[in-house]
Amino acid sequence: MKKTARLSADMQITYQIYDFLAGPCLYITVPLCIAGILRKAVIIINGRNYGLKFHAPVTQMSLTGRTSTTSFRVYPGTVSGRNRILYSVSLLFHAAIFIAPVTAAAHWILFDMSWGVMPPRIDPGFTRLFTYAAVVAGIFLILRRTFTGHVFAVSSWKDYAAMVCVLTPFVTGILAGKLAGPYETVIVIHCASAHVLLLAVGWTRLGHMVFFASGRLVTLGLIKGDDV
Amino acid sequence: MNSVDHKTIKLMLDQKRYMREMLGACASCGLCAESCLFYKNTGNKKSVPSYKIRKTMGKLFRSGGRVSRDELEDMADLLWGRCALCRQCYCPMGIDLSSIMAWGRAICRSQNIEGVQRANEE
Repeated sequence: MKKTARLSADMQITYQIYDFLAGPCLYITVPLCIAGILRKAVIIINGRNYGLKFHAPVTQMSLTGRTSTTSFRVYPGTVSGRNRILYSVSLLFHAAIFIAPVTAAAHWILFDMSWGVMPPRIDPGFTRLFTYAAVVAGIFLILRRTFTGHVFAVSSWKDYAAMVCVLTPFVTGILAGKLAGPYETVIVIHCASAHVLLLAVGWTRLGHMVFFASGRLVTLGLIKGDDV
Repeated sequence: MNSVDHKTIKLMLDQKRYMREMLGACASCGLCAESCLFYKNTGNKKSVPSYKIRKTMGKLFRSGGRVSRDELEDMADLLWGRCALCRQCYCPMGIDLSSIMAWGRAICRSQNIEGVQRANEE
């Protein structure tokens, strides 16, 4: 009897944590995430006034002369023409980590409960596909980081921590969807790790997306950059 | 003339504060290695551009410019001995690696350190 009462108290705390993470906590982490991204954008814009340039070589020079592939011509100076496997996996990974959470029905149910807005139904199989894709591509990137000599040489624990930070919400999302493991604990870890991820996007190296987007705009010629 | 003027280094770092953000945007993907002639010719990890900027300007930013002369000489070995400033280094984030290294050289020069200080081991 005493044990049942104890468990019940634990559950109550778990539900309270869940209620906080799935609700009010978003009002803290989302603005902080946006503020972090805006801060980076402002630094880029200010930096440009002090000489910051995005370096976007159009073609690669080699000792034997100028080398150029179809890919260089189509996507000048981007990763697509340099390492196609990494390009494909990276594109899949980054697309999946955006698409999966945005299309997840469970997220929209919460949104509907709070705001009364429900988008057209998206097949859960679609979300599941991108969730698995994010995890598989993430594992590929971890393996590449570990077993490619020059990538391992420039890696630190922070790079692995960043990847764990990104993958945890997806792995726990899969577990929660399949009702595998202790559901309440899994869903609390899922919510908590998603909040950590949101903060990390704004304030750590995971914010490289801001620079990536700016770099692409330069490469495409939409912002004046510093093409070689 | 063996002392280091930390104040000048700090001032120079403050002038290019945005470089710290750019260093922070490095995803350590290693793609820059494939575009560096030094790395392609030697295969030495010390020639990977992201390694070079982290061990030089990254270190300077982290320490707020408080580095010893020995450390500055180590940096000079990387900045002059393993970089030709050919500007062929490619970064998917658009980080201008060579301009960061050029500023590293400027900081070394401000302390009367210029060129390779010790012979490379390879």
